[in-house]
Amino acid sequence: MRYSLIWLPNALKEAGLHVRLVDNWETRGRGDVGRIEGVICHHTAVASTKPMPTLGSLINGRKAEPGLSAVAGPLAQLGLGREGHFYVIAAGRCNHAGEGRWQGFTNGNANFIGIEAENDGKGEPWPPVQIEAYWRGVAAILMHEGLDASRCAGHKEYAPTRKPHDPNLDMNAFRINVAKVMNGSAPLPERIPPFDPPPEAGAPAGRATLFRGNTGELVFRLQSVLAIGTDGIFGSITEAAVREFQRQHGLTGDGIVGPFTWQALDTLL
Amino acid sequence: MFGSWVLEVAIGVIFVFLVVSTICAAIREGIEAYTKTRAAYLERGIREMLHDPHCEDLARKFYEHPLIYGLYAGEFIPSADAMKIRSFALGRGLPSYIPSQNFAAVMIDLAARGSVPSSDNETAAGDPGAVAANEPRALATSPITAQSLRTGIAEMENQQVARAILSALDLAQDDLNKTRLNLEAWYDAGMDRVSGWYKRSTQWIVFWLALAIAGVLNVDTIGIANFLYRNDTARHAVVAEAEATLEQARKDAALVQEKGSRTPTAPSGGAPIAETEIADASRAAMNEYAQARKKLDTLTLPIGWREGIHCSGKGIWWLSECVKQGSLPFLGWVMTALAATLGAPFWFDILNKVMVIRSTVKPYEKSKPEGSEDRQNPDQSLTLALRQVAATATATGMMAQAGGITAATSAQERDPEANIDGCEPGNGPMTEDAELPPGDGGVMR
Repeated sequence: MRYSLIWLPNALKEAGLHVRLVDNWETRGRGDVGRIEGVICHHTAVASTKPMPTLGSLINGRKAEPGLSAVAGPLAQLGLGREGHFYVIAAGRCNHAGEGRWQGFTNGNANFIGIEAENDGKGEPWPPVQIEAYWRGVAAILMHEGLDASRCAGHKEYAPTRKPHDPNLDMNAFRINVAKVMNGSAPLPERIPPFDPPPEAGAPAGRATLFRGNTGELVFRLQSVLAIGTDGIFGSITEAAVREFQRQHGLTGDGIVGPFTWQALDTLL
Repeated sequence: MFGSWVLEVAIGVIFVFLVVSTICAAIREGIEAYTKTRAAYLERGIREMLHDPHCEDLARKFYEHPLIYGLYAGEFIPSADAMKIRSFALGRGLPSYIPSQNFAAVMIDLAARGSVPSSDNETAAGDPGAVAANEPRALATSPITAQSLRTGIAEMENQQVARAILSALDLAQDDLNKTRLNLEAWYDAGMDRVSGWYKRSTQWIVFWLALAIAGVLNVDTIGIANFLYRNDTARHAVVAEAEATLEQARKDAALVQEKGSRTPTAPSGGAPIAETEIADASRAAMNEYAQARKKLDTLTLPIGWREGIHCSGKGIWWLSECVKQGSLPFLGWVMTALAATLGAPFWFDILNKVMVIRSTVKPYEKSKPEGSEDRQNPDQSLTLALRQVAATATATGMMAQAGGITAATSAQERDPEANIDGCEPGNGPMTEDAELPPGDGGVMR
């Protein structure tokens, strides 16, 4: 059975965000959610440079380790990677909130959507692309449910005694930014252009922006530059290679080959 | 949004009531097609109006009058216990409806000319005195005048009815047409009582029917409201289904109107009811029942016993134990049954009204985040805000009205898994870049 939050990907995409769907997300959940009363923001507290290293745990649950007991998954409806992409994990209820209270609501697992953003929680700077996606994602969810920015809580506000530092963000400033997105006073999201800008006025547009699922001549060229197997299909391996390349060149490791990445690739040619 | 879901829960519950009462009405009509209780009640009403409780004189003459005799099949045999109002009284082929024109004409005819002598001597033998007394006038073919009517009334045995007809004649100042209208009005007033008896007995029958259906199919109003409150998808599905039903009903009504204007149908009350019509009526009732039943099954609601009964009682106390443990939602069933007694037309009407309210309250939940032009235009954002305020105000009013439902469902319930917190995913197996799923969005097209 498909659970209730099947609207999540579209709501996020309409907000100009890049959304990645985990297989079987529609039917995943600890049963169905109740009425949605808000969003609880988390960080994953796992140190890494990878975009979304905790995805497997968020889907399947946490194994017991020192200081942490095992918990059945899914652990959150949404994951937010360091590259600013949303990973839709479950359309049903998730074990993300536990005991606590926000705005009078105490059944956080049933009434709140959980977002786990990748951050070590010990001072790792939040990449602008990720924090901006965080605001926009929360705003899109609240708007879809007809709620205002006050319904967005940090886990540390919902459960201050158990999780005093989660997430490592100033939630008041966070809510102000969410409200700005909601009332339209924030700038529009920057989307990646579909082509390289023409080198000079009047010249034809340059190379197309490539991402997973593309095929063709341009993908061959990309693969040969990255020195990986060339089959002309932009699949998961090519994407991982692009992400690695982007990280090495100080770009956002989102796996999408846009104008900046093409520029960086040109230096290798 | 706030207003929308209260209304949607209400729509869902009303729709369930509508479907259940449709089922009950269909079953009731099916029963009626065989028992013809309406006809029995009509006979009783006639007897009372004509002050002839045992059907010895005027009521019998009335039913045997050629203008009425043609309305039913077979002979008129008065039943002994017709004066008792029983829920399943048998109509025995008597007419379910008698047009008021027929009644008035028969009364004037009976008063002025006396009873119609039967060609069959055996039937006449049942009331020899009356026939003999009226014989000379039965042969008269001169038209009835106010004067001849007065003479006839004076000779009537039944003093009470004689007074009634006389007062009708007096009020009409000896105008026969007006007398007829007065008699029709008298008859209509009496028939209102008859339909009252029928309505009351139907309400009882429908209540027990609905209770049985609610129990057998587990249609628990409280449970359904609760479920709809928590389940967005199901709620939207039910609302869509209700919308489709209303739309279909509107189309059907338009179709019937169109048909009616083209081919005038015969007045249903007058024609004798043949066997085929009984079969038709019961088939139509069966059809309606099957459709409503199908609708109930397709709704994604917690209806039925799919999950079984969970309670630990044993032996003869099992049932009471189950009710105590809340496994048998008795209160919910009774609510369903009580609602069904109000009838399908009532719920149809209410559903229509709530739908209209909802269409005016519909919130702006799907507004696009990047629709900045509208938002930055001060005029538009003001109107938007005003409309939202108005919507919330209306919704609050509705909320107060729908208090029963909201009170039952808005309580913050904690459940066994409410305390599970897996917020820190831990250092379990790390997901590599190549294992991440593909995505979409954020790129201009």
